[in-house]
Amino acid sequence: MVVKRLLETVFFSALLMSLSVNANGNDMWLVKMNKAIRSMNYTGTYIHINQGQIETMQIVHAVDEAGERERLLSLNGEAREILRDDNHVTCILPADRFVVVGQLESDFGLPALVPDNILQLGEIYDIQLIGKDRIAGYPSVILSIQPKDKMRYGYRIWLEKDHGMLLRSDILDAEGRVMEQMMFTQISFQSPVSDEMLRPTVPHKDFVTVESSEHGVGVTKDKSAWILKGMPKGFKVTGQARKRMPMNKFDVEHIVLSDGLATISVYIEKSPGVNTLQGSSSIGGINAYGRSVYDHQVTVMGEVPKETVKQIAYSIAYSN
Amino acid sequence: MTDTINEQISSLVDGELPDEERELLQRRLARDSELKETWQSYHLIRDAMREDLPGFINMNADVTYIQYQESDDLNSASKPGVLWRAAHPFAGMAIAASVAMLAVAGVLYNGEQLVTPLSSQIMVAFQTTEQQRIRENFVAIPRNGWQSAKPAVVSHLNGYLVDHSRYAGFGSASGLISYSRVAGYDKSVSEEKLQ
Repeated sequence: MVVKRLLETVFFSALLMSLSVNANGNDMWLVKMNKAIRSMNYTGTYIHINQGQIETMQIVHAVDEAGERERLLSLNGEAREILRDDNHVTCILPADRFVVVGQLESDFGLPALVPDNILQLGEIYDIQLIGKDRIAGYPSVILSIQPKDKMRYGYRIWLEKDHGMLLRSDILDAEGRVMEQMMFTQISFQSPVSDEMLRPTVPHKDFVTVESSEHGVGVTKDKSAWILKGMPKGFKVTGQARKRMPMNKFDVEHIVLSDGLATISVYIEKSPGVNTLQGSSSIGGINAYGRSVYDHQVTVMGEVPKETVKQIAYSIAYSN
Repeated sequence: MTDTINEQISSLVDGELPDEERELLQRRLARDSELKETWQSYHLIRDAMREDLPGFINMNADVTYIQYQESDDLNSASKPGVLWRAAHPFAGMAIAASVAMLAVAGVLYNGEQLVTPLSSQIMVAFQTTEQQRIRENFVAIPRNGWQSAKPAVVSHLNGYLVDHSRYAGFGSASGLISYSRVAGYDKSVSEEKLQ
């Protein structure tokens, strides 16, 4: 773990140096943000506004020799809790008396802000510092990230000016209207984060635990029979795996795409025949599109406009 | 600001502060702007927790006037308020003044109501030009979960949403928003049990 942290530090340092030479300074704020979110200790409360609904969330995030750990608790209604560490995600859903446990193999699919991605961002997004503000008591800079086409959303983000921690984020549609917002109302850095604060608080002893297993095939290893032709500009496959999910009898093939900022998932499963999405659906800033291809159900989902998920759904082809 | 005063303010908001303490605290609130700000913040947090806030908040709105009435209900024994208890273990960290940013939130509900009481105690008024901007800047999205999807399909999509959140990138603030979707929409997830 220590070696991993060291490598991350070296990586980010190299990335910052690379960007200072090759990109405008605004891009560096994204790197700082990415690092801050994942490497800093913080505890706080934030609101998430989506679809006319306001959720108040409490977060505890810690990084130490044990790795990266996080606890997220909804403060509205029945308490729902999500716990994350380096390779596990546990969702405690009291209403259903379910505990959903997921496991990641290494860094599968994580859309890291790698130098190539960052440097290519300028081709698909216009990134500008547009002002200063104060969020949750912290002086912040405001970054505007405008897409150069209509295949992705825009963002306005508020970053704490010293470390780049994300304090507020607005997701904007093609007309610049706010679709989804999150904002910290209180955040504290470098506070000691005890193991106690990272333990689940929602009782779940008698809940049913469902697990999704995952068998990463790697982007460059086993060749998948499914290929993507004609993806939107800037998107690349960042991960591919076969997995067993709670609601599926059979393995599902999962392909993750990223343009460096937005992430899209493509799920391909043996067609169950019923209860599948045919056409479009959405939830807040997330759009989904489903269609049948060669007796399989293809479902594309991501925080991108509906035209983008549709295009990707139609770019799926069976290569055998 | 001490924990004790924070507890008292929280109790006041919850209507759980005894008469004698209430009177004293209200006098302090009248002359202490910091306390007043905390009091407003607690009200807003309570409303958010009760899901009493309106559909959208425009956090950019310029507020011209904030008026409130010190008319919290009285009740029973003095004890730490619900907010105080809910905020623990964070309660020790003073709720940042910027929570009051919510208090200055421009509010639009169903594109109609321009002056929306965030609670019965708080009135927020807006400049007319700002009202127009708010109206233009928000997308009207229904409150439901997955749109245009049958319940059984919603169950399927929710399963994928949970999974997709694990790979959320910057667009979801590296997971913060994405997992909020999952936790926040447990209502819809739970309505259609994962099978």
